[in-house]
Amino acid sequence: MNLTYSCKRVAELLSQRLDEPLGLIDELRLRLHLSMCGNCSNVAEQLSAVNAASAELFSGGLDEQAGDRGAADFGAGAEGASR
Amino acid sequence: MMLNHGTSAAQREAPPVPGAAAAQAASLESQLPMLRQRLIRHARYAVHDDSLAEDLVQDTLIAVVEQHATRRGDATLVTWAIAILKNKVADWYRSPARKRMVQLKADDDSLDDAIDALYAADGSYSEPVPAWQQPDNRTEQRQMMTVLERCLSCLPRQTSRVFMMREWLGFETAEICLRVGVSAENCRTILHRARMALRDCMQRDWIGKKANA
Repeated sequence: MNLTYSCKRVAELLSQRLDEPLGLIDELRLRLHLSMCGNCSNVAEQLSAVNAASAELFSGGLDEQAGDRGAADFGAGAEGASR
Repeated sequence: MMLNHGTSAAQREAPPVPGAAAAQAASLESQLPMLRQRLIRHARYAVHDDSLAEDLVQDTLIAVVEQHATRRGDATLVTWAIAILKNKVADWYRSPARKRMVQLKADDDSLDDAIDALYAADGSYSEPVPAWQQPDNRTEQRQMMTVLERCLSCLPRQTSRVFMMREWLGFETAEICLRVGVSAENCRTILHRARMALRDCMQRDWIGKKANA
């Protein structure tokens, strides 16, 4: 508990790290925990994946490859589909 | 900013274009209703105020019509228009007009409870966290995006607005604190809750359903 953080605290730091660099000590303790904890390693990957996918969704980037069918995505969910 | 100017007025003011350019303009006009719908959905997620979203989209469509003939680059119309909208939304957050808008109330604690439920008393995960298999083709990618959008629409308003300011507008947390009027600690918590809630929702509705399919 002193040497490393709890998984709950690690998740908070993983999120914080997506927004700003962590302090050296936090970063080291985080890495130490991740090296020993499969659950947190998976959560780390998943938080990054969610962020990357959100960025793509927001920028409409998927459209670039999808051509005409792109309209089925962000544009035509709940409201769009009911029209 | 030019809010509340009608689109039709802007369309009438668009300079006449000869030949091929005229065909291009006509094709743009036919796409405007679809484009407007997409932009409005996008804007609503970002500002959570219907009439404001419509104003911002109106502004964006005026810029689209005015700049369409001279635009360069390979982006699709939608991607290009979303980039314009993004600037309009960011400008709005930074404008004095925003201060007149009533601040959103802080969201309730339901997300906190959902996140707490992931952990045992000692702060470790109470259930094993399975690894995700990333989408390996276009169809799966598309399904993932559809689920993600649905998950996003389930976030509480304040949480979703802050998340979009960060991940769409690209604001630093310090600027989000300033524009939304929350402390740095609060802002961190909101972003963390948003990401964990999206992760949880994706686990349940995307990975979970893929496994059962």
